[in-house]
Amino acid sequence: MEKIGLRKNRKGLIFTIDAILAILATIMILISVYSIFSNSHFNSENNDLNKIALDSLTVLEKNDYLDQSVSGNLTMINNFLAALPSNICGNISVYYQDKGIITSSKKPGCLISDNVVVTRRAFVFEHKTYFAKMEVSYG
Amino acid sequence: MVRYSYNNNKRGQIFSLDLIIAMLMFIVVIILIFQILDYSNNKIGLEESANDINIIAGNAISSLTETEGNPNNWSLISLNDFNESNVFSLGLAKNSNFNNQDSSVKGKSMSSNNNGYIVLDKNKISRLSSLNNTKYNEIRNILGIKGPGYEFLLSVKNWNGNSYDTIKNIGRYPDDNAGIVVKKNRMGLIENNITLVELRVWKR
Repeated sequence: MEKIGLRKNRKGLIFTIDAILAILATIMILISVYSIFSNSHFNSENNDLNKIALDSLTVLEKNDYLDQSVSGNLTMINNFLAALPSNICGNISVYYQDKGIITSSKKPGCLISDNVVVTRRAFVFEHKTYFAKMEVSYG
Repeated sequence: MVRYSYNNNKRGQIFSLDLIIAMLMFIVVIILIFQILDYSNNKIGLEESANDINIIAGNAISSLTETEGNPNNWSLISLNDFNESNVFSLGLAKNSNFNNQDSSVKGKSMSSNNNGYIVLDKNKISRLSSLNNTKYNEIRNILGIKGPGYEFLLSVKNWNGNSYDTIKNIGRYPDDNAGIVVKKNRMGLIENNITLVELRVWKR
């Protein structure tokens, strides 16, 4: 009697091989369809932002705007930030060795997004080495 | 005999409901597969073109803003000789001839003097603009914009303190047939003025 009772309480076979294969096939089809319809285009945005940031620091150095910012004159840096393309936001900070930030400017009315590109450049002013950091993102 | 024969000639059940449903599903699946294949082929083609144009535009604007061109005196070449055999690449950057530099910048690094990389030569821009009408195809090919139906528009703009003034537009404006337009921006200098260089590469 005990044996018979045990057999009757056994759970039935829920998953057959057919069902497993069908589920696998369905998952494969869903993944294929998703990959076809999803956006997987080549992303060159960060590369473009990096070029803009490097160009910006070069322009600022060549025009001595970085030197001026060390002296406390941020007019030309602010003017440059306003000249960035309308869809690009930017911040510029100047550091001196371990003394931290000397000056910092940002494009007005523009917030740096999470997808930010950062570039740095060293420059010499009055025999001292400073660092300029440019952060850019699409705004 | 007649009755027996009549009974034997009765038609059997060829189409069951299961079969009809299965056939309908099969046809729907086949149509869907063809639709997806067609869609994915179109999408892949468009993405390939967009990626291609993106890379071409990036290379072309880098060549224009970062280099002097090859030869670096290409702007002095006569109209008749301006072709792919004599001009290997186009660049708008000022020539970095150390001997011609002002003494005030000779002690500075190449990055901080007023020649070369992203410091643009007004004369080269004017020359490229004057060649645009007669040598557009040559300019396009030298810039490496060689895909089927690919065209370009190069805009050079100076910052006046509030907005940009367009100095030159070189090339062709994207028209109504432009399927893909890729725009690349670079910052530079023309005689210490902040300059924006925009390159649009587009496909008919």
